[in-house]
Amino acid sequence: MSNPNLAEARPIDIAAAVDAVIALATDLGRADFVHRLTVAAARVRRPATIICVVGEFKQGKSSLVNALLGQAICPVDDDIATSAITLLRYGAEPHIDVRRRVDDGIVVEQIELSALADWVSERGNPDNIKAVERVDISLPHPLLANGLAIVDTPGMGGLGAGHAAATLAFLPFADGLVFVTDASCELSAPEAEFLDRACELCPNVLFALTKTDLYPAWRQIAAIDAERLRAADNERPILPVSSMLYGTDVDPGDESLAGTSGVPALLEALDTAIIAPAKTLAALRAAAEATGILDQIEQQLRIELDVLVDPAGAAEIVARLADATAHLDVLRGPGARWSLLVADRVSDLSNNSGHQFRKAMRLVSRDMEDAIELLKSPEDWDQLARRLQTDVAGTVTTVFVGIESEAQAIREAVIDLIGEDSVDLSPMSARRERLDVMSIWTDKGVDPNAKHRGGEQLGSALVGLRGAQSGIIMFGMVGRFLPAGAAALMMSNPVTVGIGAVFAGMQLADAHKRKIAMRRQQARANVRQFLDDVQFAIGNEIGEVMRDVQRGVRDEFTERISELGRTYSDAARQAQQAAQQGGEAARDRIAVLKSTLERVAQARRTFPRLMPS
Amino acid sequence: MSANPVLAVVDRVRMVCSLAADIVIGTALAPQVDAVRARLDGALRIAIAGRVKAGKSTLLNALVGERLAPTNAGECTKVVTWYQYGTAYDVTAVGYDGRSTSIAFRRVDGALNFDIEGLRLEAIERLVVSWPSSALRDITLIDTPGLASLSAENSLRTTEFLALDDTHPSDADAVIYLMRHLHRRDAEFLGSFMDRSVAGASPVNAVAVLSRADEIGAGRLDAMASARRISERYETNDVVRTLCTAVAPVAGLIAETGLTLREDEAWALRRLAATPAPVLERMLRAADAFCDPGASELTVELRRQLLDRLGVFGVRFCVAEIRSHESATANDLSKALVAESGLDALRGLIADLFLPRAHILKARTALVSLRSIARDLESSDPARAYQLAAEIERCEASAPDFAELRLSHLVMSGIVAFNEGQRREFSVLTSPGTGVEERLGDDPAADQATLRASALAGVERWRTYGSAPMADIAMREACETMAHTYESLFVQLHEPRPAGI
Repeated sequence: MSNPNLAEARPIDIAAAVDAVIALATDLGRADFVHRLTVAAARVRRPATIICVVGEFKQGKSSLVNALLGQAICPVDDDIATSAITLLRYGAEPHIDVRRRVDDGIVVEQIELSALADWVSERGNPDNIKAVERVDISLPHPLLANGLAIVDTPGMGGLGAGHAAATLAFLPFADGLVFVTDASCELSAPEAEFLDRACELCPNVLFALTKTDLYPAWRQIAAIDAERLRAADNERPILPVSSMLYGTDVDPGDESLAGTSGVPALLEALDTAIIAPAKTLAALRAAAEATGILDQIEQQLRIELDVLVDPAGAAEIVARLADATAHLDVLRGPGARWSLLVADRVSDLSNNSGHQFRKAMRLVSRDMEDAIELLKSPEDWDQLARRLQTDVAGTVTTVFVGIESEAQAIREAVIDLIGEDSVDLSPMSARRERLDVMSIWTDKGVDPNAKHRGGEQLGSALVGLRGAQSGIIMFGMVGRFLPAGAAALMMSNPVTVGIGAVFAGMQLADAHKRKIAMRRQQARANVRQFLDDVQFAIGNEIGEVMRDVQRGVRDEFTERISELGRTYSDAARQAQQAAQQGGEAARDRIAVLKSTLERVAQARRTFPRLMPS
Repeated sequence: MSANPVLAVVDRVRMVCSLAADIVIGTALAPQVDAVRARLDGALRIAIAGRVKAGKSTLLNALVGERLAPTNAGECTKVVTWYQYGTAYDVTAVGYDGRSTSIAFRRVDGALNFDIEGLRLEAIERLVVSWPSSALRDITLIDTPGLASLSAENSLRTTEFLALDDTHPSDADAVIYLMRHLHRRDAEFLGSFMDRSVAGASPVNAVAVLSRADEIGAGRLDAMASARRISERYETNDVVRTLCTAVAPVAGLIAETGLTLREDEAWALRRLAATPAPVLERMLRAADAFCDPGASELTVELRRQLLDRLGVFGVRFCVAEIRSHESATANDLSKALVAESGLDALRGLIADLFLPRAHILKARTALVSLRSIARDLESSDPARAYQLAAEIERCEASAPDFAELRLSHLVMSGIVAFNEGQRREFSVLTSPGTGVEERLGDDPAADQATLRASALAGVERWRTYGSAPMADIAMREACETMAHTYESLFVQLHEPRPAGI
């Protein structure tokens, strides 16, 4: 389902329109509305979008990130530089945190930018002896101020290393991907294979061909790569880039060099493909929230106005409002239907996810045992190790994607349930029909209009995950997903290391027949140990995520119910006051209310196309 | 023990060959024995393997000193190609059916262009280029299609070519493995690759080359120093150490062009160096800027050719070279380029590591082939087959070189885990081409009594290591061989010392 409004929503206008509603809410003293709208407006200006920069090592990923930022942030070295995942996002002040695994816990240390190379480069941190899991960098940078979060990944170490599987597993959670390959040679088989998979999992894949300054034949390489993409029915533009020509040491006056660097074109592509749609989506959501709030404000104003105009009806209105408030108190209480529903569904989800995961892992395990039995030639070990990685990564991704989409389903179920319970105020006035609880859940079913090239079953489940709609949620999640969630996938934590080690011994041994039985047994033991480790880590993670889902849904709905409660009680109080007023004061108040209502109407007109039909 | 143990082994194997030739004379197996003998006496076969576009053909050209193998920006080598010494220029395609077809060829800019239009590519097992080049007298170089090539067909050809099990000796005696940049995780891949496919799966006959080294430092003038630093890191890496003896950075293109630089190219480079500094600096920033039509009076075509021949680094290097030494001739530039390229270090490795050891490897390969012939003979003539097999067995058992080779393999590939001290002792004891004193780790001026005492102590020490309860079979075997080696040194010390050692 595509949303015709999406194309028309202009993020900048919407942000300004939301600001007008904020001003109105401030004047009315509704700090709760102000808070919600401020968050929404910020999101329009800076929707949280995650872009992964991936590729084999030494392709110039970090240089590219630096070029995009126009600032030397990520360490670049002739030798392998990036050995830990680096997350760059917006912050008012530059700030760097290094997350390290110490014993069983995570230690976060703040470091200086100049010291970064000591932590994430092969030279400063050989073999990652410092156990760095992730580096979080906050920068006051205009590109990041757009809401972009850039994930600079360590190079995928050649063929079949754990990284490729890990990166793929994380992709469903990313908004975009910049695939980096250099112009020294055409795509290798593993690169091409990775690219095909990545394009299935992520709708926005940009193909950057780097180091065009160094290779005179880059056009020829680009043509070969393009041909390869065409042959795989995966056509997409190839963006030639020379990070060197856009670096800080280039004379800014020499525009022709910067132009040939290709970096501006890449920035534009990022904006068109990823940032702009995310902003539009955020704008759509913010508009929906703002109009919902306008509804509440309008109703409250109208109630007071009605009482002022016709004081006789005051008693009845106050009584009805009291009923409604009492009803809301029930909704807010622990025994409310929706609250029980959340508890039930989350506990079901928790059980199901755990069960599904264990079942899938058992299948993987059985499949592995069978495969080990059938192994003949030594090269099969390598293939098997790769398959194990891919299977496990896929299993874990599926579990977390399932949780995410079910969490969304739970939200929607709660909205429906509260809708059934909605406070019926219709006898009061025809105009007041809109004052029901349903009106506050305006963002239900916003369709981010994600397009997918294959991978549908995963893709459809992910609709709710991508884009600004889930950006904030995702950011909460990033902290969790990176280290352990998405299969500890992009990290060098014990689970990932385990992947490499499972068959490590096998490759060095020779193919002597009498040893095969022994090695099979060893392999089975290794696989079991590995799967145990994964199961333990992911099992814990599922528990954590589940608690978060429950808390998140609860808090959100409780807050909205409180908002509505406040609207009712304010309205009741003002209605009582109005009933006692008369003459001059009443006339003045009526004038104020009318002008405020005019402001509401005006504000509403700024979102005309976005009004729910 | 003779003065030249290497030759001794080859001689012994040659004797077995003669016996085999006598036995199979007149039968269908005779050509096979002839082939074994030819290989034993022929040039050392070095395969150049590596991932696609690692610069294999370019390196081959550099080693030959001529632009022979075709090179291109795209993937280029599609068939295993042998470059061997011949008195005449000749290119032959050998099919899987064993038939040879002579192939027409022409040279485009020096590189060979094979006319294989009329042939089915998948039916060709290999191309054999015979060339009267002095560089090919002692070694035959074998160019292979890239591994992990996009076309699975090409990768298959390489693994097939390098594939080896106990009954089918590899076509290569030694391997130069090219890598562009090795990640630690890549090392595992490299390990499994070498283990399952390369001659004898041993680091004793493999060196790694950090290829296209000039590109590592993004073409900066200190690129090669940077590449050397990285090579050193790899060399001390435990995983890499089990895969190859050494890692050398080589800028193949720089070496190739250095060896074939023409005077007109030198002239163009001199003109280029005379360009005003700010213009030149801008030109050298990027390949596209270099070929910008208005940037220089040299034609764009000429500039493009220079880039193709030298790469960005090469052009920068030559310009710097010309500027620091006023008038640089093609000869001067040539020398400077070759010296910078790291090619000499690789040549040194081939001479020091491959040539001595590979003789033993060739001998071993010959024995493996002969054993397979003996098996084939079994059905028709069991008695003679038994005789041949026994002779092979005797030859193998009586040559300590094979035991030492196996020891080297066990230790270097990490199957036997010596501690640091043991490892050092092993490498001192087995280093090729050194005298008894050095091998025993003693002062060259030490007297006989001291040396004998050292040798005996060595025997004692390694017997003790070998009888440790934790030692597994491989460890026991390795310790035994070490002890035997000390024993043979001890024996040698009792014999009158031949002059010249």
